[in-house]
Amino acid sequence: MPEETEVAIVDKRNNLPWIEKYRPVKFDEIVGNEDTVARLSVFSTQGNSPNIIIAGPPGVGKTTTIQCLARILLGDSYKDAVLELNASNERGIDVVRNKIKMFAQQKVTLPKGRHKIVILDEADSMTEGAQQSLRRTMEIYSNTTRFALACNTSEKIIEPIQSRCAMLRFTKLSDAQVLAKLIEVCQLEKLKYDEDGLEAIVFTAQGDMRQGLNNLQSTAQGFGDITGANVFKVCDEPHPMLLQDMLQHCAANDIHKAYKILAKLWRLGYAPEDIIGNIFRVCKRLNVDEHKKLNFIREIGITHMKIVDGCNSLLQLTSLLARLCIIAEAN
Amino acid sequence: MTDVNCFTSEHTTTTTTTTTTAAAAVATTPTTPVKNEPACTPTSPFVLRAPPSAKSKLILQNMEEVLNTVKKQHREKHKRKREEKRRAAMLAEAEAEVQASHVTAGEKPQPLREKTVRENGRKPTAKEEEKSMTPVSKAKNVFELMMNARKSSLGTNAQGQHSPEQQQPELSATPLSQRKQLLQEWNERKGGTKRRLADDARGEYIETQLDQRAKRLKKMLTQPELVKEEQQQQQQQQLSNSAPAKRGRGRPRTRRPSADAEQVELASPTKKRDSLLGYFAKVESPKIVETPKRRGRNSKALQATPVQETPAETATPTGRPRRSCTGKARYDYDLERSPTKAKQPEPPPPSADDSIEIIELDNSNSALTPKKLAPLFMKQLPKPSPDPSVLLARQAFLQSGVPEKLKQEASRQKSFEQYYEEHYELFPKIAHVASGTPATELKLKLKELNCTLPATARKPSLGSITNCTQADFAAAATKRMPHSVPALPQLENKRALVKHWKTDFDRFPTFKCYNQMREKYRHFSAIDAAQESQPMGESFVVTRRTRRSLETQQLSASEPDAKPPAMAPNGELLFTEKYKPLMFDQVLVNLTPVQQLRDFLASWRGELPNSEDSQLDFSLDSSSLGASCNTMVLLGPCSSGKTNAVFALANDMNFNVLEINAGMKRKGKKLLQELQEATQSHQIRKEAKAGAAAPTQQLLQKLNGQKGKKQEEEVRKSLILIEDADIVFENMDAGFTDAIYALAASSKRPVIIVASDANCAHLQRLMQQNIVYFHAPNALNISRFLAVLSLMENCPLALNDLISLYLFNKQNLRKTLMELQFFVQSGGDAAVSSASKSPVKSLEGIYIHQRLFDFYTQAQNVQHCIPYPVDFALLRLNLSEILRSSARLQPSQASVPSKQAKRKSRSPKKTWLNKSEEQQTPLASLASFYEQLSTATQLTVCLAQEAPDRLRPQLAEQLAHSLVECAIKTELGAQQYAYTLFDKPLERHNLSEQLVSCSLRSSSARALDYEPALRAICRSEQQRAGLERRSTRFYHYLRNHATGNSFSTEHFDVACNVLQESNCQHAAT
Repeated sequence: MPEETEVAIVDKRNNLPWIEKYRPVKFDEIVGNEDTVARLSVFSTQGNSPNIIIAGPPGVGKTTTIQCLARILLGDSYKDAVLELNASNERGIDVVRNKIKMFAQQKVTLPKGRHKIVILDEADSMTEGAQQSLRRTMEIYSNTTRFALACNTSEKIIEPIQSRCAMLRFTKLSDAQVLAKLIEVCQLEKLKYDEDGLEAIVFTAQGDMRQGLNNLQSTAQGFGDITGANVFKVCDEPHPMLLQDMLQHCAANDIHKAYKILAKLWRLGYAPEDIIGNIFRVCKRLNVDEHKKLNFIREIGITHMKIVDGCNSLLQLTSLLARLCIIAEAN
Repeated sequence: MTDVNCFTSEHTTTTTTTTTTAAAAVATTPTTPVKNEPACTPTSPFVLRAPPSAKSKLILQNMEEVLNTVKKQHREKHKRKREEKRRAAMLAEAEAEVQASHVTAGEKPQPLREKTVRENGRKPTAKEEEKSMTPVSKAKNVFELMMNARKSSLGTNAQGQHSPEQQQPELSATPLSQRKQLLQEWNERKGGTKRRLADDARGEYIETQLDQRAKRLKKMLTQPELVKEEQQQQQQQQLSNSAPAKRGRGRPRTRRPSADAEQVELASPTKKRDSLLGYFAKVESPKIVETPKRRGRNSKALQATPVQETPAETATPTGRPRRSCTGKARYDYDLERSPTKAKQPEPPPPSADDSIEIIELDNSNSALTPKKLAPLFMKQLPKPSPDPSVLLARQAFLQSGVPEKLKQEASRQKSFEQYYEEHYELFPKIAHVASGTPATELKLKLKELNCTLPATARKPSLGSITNCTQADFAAAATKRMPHSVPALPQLENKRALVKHWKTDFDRFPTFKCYNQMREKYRHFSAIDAAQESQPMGESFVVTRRTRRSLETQQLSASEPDAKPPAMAPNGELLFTEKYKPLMFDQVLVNLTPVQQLRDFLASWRGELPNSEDSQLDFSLDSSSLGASCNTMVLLGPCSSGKTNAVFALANDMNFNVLEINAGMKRKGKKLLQELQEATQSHQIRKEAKAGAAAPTQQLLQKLNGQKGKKQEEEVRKSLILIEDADIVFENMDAGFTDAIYALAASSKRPVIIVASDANCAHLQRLMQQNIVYFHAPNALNISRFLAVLSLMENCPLALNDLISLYLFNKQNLRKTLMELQFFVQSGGDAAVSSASKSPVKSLEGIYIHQRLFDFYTQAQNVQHCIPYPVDFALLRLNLSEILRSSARLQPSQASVPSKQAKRKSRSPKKTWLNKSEEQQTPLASLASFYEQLSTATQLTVCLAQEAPDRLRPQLAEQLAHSLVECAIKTELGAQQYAYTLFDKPLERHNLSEQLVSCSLRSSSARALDYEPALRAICRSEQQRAGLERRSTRFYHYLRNHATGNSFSTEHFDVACNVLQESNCQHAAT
């Protein structure tokens, strides 16, 4: 019997998206932002964590970190002592004044140094009124209840709330960190992969672990093997190698060849926003003179500005190539 | 008709005893006696008489109910027989009935004859049924009788179906009464007398029974409590009499054709018995029974309006159940739409078969026996002119009795439906847009445009597109080892360090601060330790307390601090709670405003403000402060200690704080209600303190004990603290502002209002009176305070780090404290195993932790030279440092300032020229450096305006950041530079940016002319706002031009805020 249940559990786990399946439950499984995570793990054992705001781009483990903290800190009483509200819950002024306050007032027996935790995920989507009505509540019940907020941009959290929390900034994961996790998942899933494919996934992930794992799963379920070609079949982006060639042609002041590649990309139907984004990211790693690269980036920035303004035609991209060639010529 | 009289008389007696509200009851009672009421007041059929009591109503309803159901039952049973007999018997019967009714009606005033006709048509049947129920054995005779009655009732029922039309003349009062007379005459002609005779014969038989019953009912109604039980018994005994009552509640249901199946079921005797029992239970609480019914009626009447419009539904005899005077108003309101219904032939409802048959019967009846009546009405029907205006007026008149609420609801629903119809097309007119011809493609004539991908086949070298290296692949195999963080060791020689600092920190009460903190630290750790070791922590604390008080007085640092417990080494409190000042003596920074506040409160305590403490300029108004007004506004930025000052002073001066904050429901009424007692009485006795006081309270008690003050004897007075008064949620906190003003006007206790927005419109009047400005504490002082604090927590920190962090947090002390706690309690530097910097041994062999500032400012995953989202204001601050460290500019360092000045006159062309001339000149590199910076700024600025997408700003940020970083690296060649200067960034809000920009061509015009003008307007408005109630006279004009939805007065306030800061400071000093 236990075997069967185990199989069932495994089956259940197999149906999960990998992003859920491999969501870390312990602090040492969390990738990136080691300093902050290590400090939080200290709090998870010693208790008395102050109110925290974790701010950072998507897919870097904000929610995971908070949940880890709450789970380890509170253990079995997680269900009673944690109130988790995300953007899908209603979080108006009413909820803050009633639900959160009621939760803060209610008594839960916890060991020394442990507090109830209110997790407000995606706190930047809370209305300003709701945040305002939270401010004094956070203070009055600080002896029994602590708050953990996660948000993308800290600017949207009003000043009084920020002032009651320690602000922890998470940043994008480095490529190496994403890669390490991807390899780990590949080994656990027994996937056939090569460096090329993983690197392609890392490129498409852009420091977003969620994106990376999703792309990995899509590729694995779509094509089986993780190769560069398969990855770009799944994540349809202007191929970085093409763009790299194009920039190299520009650096060599050969506009004809460069334009050929650009026209090809244009014909494939990529949006100019996508193209310019990938051009920039390829350019950052381009193997050319630093000074030239700097000027390249500036021109790319100017073109990006124009595209955002609405001039997203092939002409703008072509002019970018021309200007890049001028820079190459000037040097 | 005696029975009728009985009912009316009974009814009149009940009117005196009624408890229910007159209007509602009248509107809902569908009883027959009520219908007869106009007999008393013949001229106006609408007169609302006091309703019968709940019970009588109920019973009467029930009686009617039973009659109806029995009728139906018979209808079904003897459908065939009826059809056979109809032609022969019906004519005679109908005539007889009409005659009878005419006679009875003759006794009554004329206009109501018509009604009594119907009454009679029904009454006899009622008697009949009662008869038929009671003597079950007399089946044969009774059946005969019943059949007769049945036929007559059918005749009237046919009328009943069209009774709406009948009632209409009645309602439109006098002119129509003539018509009724006419009808009466017709009735007579048809043979009403014959019918009457037949009826009389039957009526006599029943009379005795009904008399009995009427008496009983009367008795019941006059003394309901007493009779209730009797009645029940009686009902049980005389099943015959009570039988009518049993299905009263089901009556509206049975009327509906859709419920016909139910009717059949109900008609069976066993079911009746069941329902009878059910009735008994319900009788015991008649009021409860009644209310839902009433509601149901009302709602039904409302719902009936749309229903009647559909022709299929018109076949249902919806009108019948409401054949009562009381229901008439509503009924006729329904009727107004009936002309349409009458005109259309009635298609049988497709669903219920029974209903079809019944309807057909009724129709046939109307066509045959009461043919002489019904077609008349049919003919007459179209006559009431369907003039819409008349209809409307009539409807309005009829609806005048309808409660206002219902009317509103109906109108709202109607408008909503209309809106819905207008806005949401069921079938959109344009299903889809035909896809036009594909956009013609510009085909550039290039040699081979569709070349194959050259690169996809090629294998990219590792690391060409990402940062990944071979080492990363290798490293992924090895598992990371989780490192454990050792707890911070207890520092032994804190005092030495403090002594050392004392010499450094001039004009800062280092020792005072140190002693206070040590006291608190020991206290809390002792509590923690005590609760750890033994559950009865109280006694332990008490024993230690005496010792420590001695010890602190002697200032002997010999005894080691209490060790924190192993389980929770971090204690339980936030630093903000732990180290907040509990008393006035403990306030170390921001002394002046707290003193002002203390003087204000002192005047309330009846103490003389000690004038030597107060400042010279303040002593002037301090004398007039307390007496003249009772409010004080504390104004200052977030975390400048406003609330804490109030609480500390309240502790000190023995006030009881009643706090109102934004987290509470702050409706004006509720607020006043809650504070009424507090504001109106001078003293409030505090409730007996709970046994287990919070640790901070214990400490406070201890401190008070040391001082030897006997405050317990004094009566605690109350103080009202209104937090976040500048925040008002329009929809949630209705009346909050008014409540504040009301409080300020009437309160006998001090009211302290805390706000952070100096330009808050609704507090302007209060702000004119008493105001205390708080400021963010000085960075230098606070860093010393923080340094001592961190030392107490065994994690000494460098002053520079603390200053930087404080400034980085925009001088927010609370946030800095939080972050300090986070850093300190997670082990300081030790939390990171790979502490890059070598530990510096500071004085006295104490390790100074260094990574505080780095931790909060540096990105951890990817190393940036400059914090990732580039803040150009900060960049400007730190630029001099960067330029100084630049390698390229090194040879001509002396000329750097002059070059900086030149940057304004640069042009791209010049840069190019310079660059092409000579790459290496410092001037050229500086110029190009600034060019890159300006591009980066442009990027972020233009993106900040647009920001339609979430990803695009990110890309722009990345672009700008990498641009700046590259520029610093390549153009300046700077390697090591400090990027540590942080200042409170000056918030500049451009009002004109919010307004429609197309009116202004050049940005210079906007900056030079438009902006100052707007600001002047705002400032004048601001000044006026304090004097007048309506503060937004000119704002309206501006708002009309605003682009964003969120544009509000706040923007104007910000605009006039530009010079506010200095004003505040002037006012404070």
